[in-house]
Amino acid sequence: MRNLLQFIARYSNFLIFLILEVVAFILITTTHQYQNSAVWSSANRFAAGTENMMTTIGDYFCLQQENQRLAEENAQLKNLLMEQANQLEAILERDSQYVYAQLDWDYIPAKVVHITTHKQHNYLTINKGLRDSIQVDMGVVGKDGVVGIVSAVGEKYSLVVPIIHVGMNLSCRLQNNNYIARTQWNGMRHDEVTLQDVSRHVTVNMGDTVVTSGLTNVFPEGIIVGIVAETEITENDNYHRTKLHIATDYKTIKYVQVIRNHTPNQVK
Amino acid sequence: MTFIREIGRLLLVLAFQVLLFDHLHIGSWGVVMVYILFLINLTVRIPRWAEMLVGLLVGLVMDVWHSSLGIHIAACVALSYVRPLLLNKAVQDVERIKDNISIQTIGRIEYTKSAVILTVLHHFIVFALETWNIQFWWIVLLQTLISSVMTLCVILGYEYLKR
Repeated sequence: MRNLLQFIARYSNFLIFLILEVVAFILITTTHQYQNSAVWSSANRFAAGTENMMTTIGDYFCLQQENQRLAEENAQLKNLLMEQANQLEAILERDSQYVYAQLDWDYIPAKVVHITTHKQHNYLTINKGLRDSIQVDMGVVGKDGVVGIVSAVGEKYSLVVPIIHVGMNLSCRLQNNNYIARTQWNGMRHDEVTLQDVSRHVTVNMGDTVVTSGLTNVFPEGIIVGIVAETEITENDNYHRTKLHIATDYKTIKYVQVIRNHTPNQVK
Repeated sequence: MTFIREIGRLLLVLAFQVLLFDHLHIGSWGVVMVYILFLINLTVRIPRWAEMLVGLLVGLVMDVWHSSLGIHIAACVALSYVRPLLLNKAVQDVERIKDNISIQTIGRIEYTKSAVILTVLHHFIVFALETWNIQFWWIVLLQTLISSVMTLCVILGYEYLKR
């Protein structure tokens, strides 16, 4: 007993060091993957609040470009609206059920407060939270395509896992042959993900569009994920090695929409 | 009084880190983590257990900001554990050290040496834990190298110019 006490007294600093490191490792392993807590992440009110303030200040310096971009987007949306209205009329006459299926989704606009693109586990913080009825596992899209999935929700801010997060797998499909695959990020480039599970017999071409599969209730079907940038298959491969150019540019993204699904039975 | 001054330094260095240096990085290769200056320069009069707890606290703040709970804690605690071992000799030689560690108190060579070792150690742990994949060891080493050079440029530049 005395020896033990002596031992502890002698190596007390090293023991404290070990204990603290073990605490750190437990924290890493329990929170590192996908799920994250709103309090202990940048969705925390103080951290997000500060970043929000910084973004607001930064925004003043690029108001002109932002105006230009909004005007362009406005024009695009107007055109789209006209187009959709015509289509809707045609569809309503034919098949009203399809229309109601599309109306199951609505969009909550949000602003990106903070984003990292240079890490393995990247995150976005957005300025909408519990009080805007954001929930964990809601899909997030930008003007160009899929952005990510909500992983933690605080009172005013939420944390979003983008496609460029090594723990993220997004179910998607090749638009021209409806083949189901999933995305996987290797931690290298912020504009590129690999497409997994595309079997040998499937034809994949450069420039093919990849869209969300609609198999889960996180995203509606047909939102653009990216475009096939590179694909190869050797004699021994069972799967294509396909790289996807992500439609969303994480470096410049500012505004996103969180997608809410109204269907009662949520499939994740 | 010393305590209040230390808190002030901590807040200042954290503010610089999250408001300025977090936004300056070269792709995923070069990241400046200048907040460790606080841990490197911390007074030597603090007991070792307390120093490690300070490391834990500073790491926790950075982790909350970076949504990476645990990574910076592990790195900062390791840095705080190693620092007294490195400085032991330099500090014994100079009895008059009352305040923080700096070039003025322990000399150019000693300071540069310990700053380099501590920075590389800290950065290596951060990148190794973040990547956590033996397959990408060369990425971890390259990130550690580039980021350490960037961080040391800022830290040593500041220390040499301080006077």
